[in-house]
Amino acid sequence: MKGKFVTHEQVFTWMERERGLVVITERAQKKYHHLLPSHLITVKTAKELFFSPWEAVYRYTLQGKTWVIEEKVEHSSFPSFLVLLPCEAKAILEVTDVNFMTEDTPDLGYARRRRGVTLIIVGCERIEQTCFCSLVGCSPFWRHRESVFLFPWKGHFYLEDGEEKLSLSPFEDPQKAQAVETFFAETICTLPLPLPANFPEKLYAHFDDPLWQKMAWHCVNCGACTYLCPTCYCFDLSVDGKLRGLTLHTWDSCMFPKFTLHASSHNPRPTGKERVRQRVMHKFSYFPLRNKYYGCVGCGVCREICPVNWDIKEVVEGMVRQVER
Amino acid sequence: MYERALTELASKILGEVEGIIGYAPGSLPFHMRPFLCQREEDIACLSFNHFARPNLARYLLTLEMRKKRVAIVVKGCDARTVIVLLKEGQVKRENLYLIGAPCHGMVSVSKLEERFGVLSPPDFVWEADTFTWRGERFAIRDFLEDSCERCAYPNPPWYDALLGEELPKPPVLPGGRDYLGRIKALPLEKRWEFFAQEMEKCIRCYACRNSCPLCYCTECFVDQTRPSWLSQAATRNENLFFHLGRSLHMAGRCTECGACERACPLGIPIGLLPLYVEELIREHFAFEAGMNLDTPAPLLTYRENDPNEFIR
Amino acid sequence: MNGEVGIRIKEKNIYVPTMVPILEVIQETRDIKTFRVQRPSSFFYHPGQFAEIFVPGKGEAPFSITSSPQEERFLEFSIKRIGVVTDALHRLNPGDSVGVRGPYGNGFPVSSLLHSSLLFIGGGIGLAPLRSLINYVLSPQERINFREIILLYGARTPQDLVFQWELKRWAEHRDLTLWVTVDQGDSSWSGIVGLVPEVLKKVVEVEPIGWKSIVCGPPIMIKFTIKALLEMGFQVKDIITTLEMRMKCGVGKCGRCNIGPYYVCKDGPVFSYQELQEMPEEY
Repeated sequence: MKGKFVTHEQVFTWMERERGLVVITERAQKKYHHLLPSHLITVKTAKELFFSPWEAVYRYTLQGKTWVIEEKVEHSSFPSFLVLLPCEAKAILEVTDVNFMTEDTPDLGYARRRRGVTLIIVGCERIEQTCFCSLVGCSPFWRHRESVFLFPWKGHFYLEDGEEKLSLSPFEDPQKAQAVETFFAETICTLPLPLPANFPEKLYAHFDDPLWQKMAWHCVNCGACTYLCPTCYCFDLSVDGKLRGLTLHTWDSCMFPKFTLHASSHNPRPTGKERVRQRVMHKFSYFPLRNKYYGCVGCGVCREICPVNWDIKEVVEGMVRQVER
Repeated sequence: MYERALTELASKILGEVEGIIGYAPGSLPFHMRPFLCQREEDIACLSFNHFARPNLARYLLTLEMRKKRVAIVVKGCDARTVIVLLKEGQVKRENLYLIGAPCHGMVSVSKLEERFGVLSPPDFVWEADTFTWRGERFAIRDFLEDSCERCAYPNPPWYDALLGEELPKPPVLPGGRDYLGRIKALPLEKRWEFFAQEMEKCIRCYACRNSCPLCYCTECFVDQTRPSWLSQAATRNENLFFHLGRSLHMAGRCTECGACERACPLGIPIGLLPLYVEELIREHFAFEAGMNLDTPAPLLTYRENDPNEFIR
Repeated sequence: MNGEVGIRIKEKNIYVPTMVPILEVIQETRDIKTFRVQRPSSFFYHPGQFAEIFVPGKGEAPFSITSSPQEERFLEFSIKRIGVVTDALHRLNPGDSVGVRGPYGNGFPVSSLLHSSLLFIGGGIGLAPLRSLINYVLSPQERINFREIILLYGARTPQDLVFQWELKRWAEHRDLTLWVTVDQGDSSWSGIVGLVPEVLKKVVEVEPIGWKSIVCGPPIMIKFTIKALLEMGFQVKDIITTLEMRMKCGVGKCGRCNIGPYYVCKDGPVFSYQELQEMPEEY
């Protein structure tokens, strides 16, 4: 039996003590503000900690007649612990890490901030109406061997992997731990089934489906969903400044026409249809075809914030019906 | 709301128009979404209620729609937007059929959540200007979106058909809820502090711009590269520059529909800037955008005998 | 590193370019210039790969390397003036410096071309990536590994032909058969007039077995040339082409240059027509 237990008090005190080193996501804070210290540093999304909305890669300066390039290296004492929900953790571990932390060509900015940060996953007691994590291989109790897992259980926290990583002294209660495991297993059985086997391949075969046109109609092509998505990692490199300036690494979005616009003014994704299709395909076909995991964790944030109720779950379910016809 | 009138009208005009841009129930409770009704069987989907938030005028500007004669469901603010688009030559009058929807204002989900916690649709029974929650009665006016709280035009100033009766002008709200007034009342440094803080949050997703039917430039100034007007870095100053630029570009054109503000995923009260600009326009030119087709727009009209020298 | 003792190796930031001087600028046509820049140390590449060129204050853009990897001293890029970065590049002179990072992309599948006859077909500035491979296979060390070599090159007008000096050299090369055509001739032009795909069917008489064709040029030219090659009996796997996309990072991370699950910057830019057929048509 892997899981042990700690008291609310223990977790609370630990977080108070490590305060400057602990960051919590807004969604985790909202869910567990009654159990955790209220004034932890919060971030809107987990990804922005590692994949900054913007950062300078290097500075260029014209000195006399030569250009001098100085790499920007951040030396910040960065938080060591990130408290987040299972879907947010899955997004980091199985999507953004996979993209940025490749061995041959690591994205150094991301890697520097990411290394040495321990993820503390707090499982979900309650499932929101926008959640659909069970469709994409996630669950309210999704755990990962490299991360700590906490789950509120009858006045205590169920804890996995926290003994060493957080130096907490948990107590054992095999019977209670068994009850937790059973609860997890039973709850998962009640959740919607995962997407069909080989959905990425099947969806890819429906690239030219006329349904895309219909589904894209009311999307306004803003970047809200991509920017607040925990997995969306597309970025741009741009310059800021003439004779001296910075080369910037900034968030970018496949929803913007400029994202793929050629200098010749040709655009391979000229309308909303192509861009919406790219967003869905990238998450549900291209990314899993390359990296085995879905590029969506089913957190439902995009469904919640979309100004026109463009709903990725609905679209994916529509495509499931289409591919299974 | 208006379902019967809508279906009757839609059955009558579909065919005469190639499509009806309206609202259909969304995928989540308390959400309505833009819907393009093109076939007989779509008509049943058309509906309208206190959650028909998006300004549909935006959809008139898609390439596909520009070529067609379409009908569009409009609230007061949306109709004003269509009039601005007509004046600016973006849409053709002969291609349009306006279905006016007298509007009691849109209800804010976050204000409902603030009062009732986690929302469950069966708890609510909706009527025109009141609703009940678990049997208890509340006034719609107490839960309106900010933009609707300040609205003075519940009825479309121009329409081809009206669903229901015109509504009386809503009463002027007590000062406490006039949030532009509250900001204006602050000393200058406090005002700056407020905006600095809000601008810090902006991630430049452009949900505000893309939701606005009057932000239709083929290439927005933020995307231009020759020259490049602002940095890609979403810093406070660059963000402010974008929002100020946008507000100034909207001067005398904004119909105060609040689409930009409601679109913001970070809850920045971004409508304040265009709202203030419109207040100045009212003050200096006694003009409100989109009230009729004839009054020339003050900032888009050139006159040789303009009293101001700088323009001559 | 928790108390670890040892030498800290400086980590490489993949987005930081190396600044190198421009050695020579050659005006190829009205709007195309070839830039010869110093080759950064440890910059090893294959024909068909590309590099990101950085103009301080203006930005970065990807360009295929047109010089042969056997040139040790320099890299060459032929660049058409078309956008912000290329416009800035065209204002630069020998002695000015630019940033280079790369090489990126897969390059031509040289090993699968070995012992074949090669039919190069280029249109306009599309000759640039081909030139790297042509000069590579023509080199004394490599020539023995390939059989017959034909180059068919076309441009809109005689003034739009790039690498005129190189074309002259190739015309005299006994190991290469060269055909040059223009869409529209003028009084100065005594050569072939006609669109590449048509000229291809007229002048190139080969039995496609044992041949590989490498096609590069504007999309419309590629489309019709491939059609002509298929009519001539070429197999889809024996037709090789390169794709262009807006690319930023060069290493398959920034997410914009994909066609289906393939990143043009990493899995391409060189693809066989067989591979292209399996991809969605979104380029």
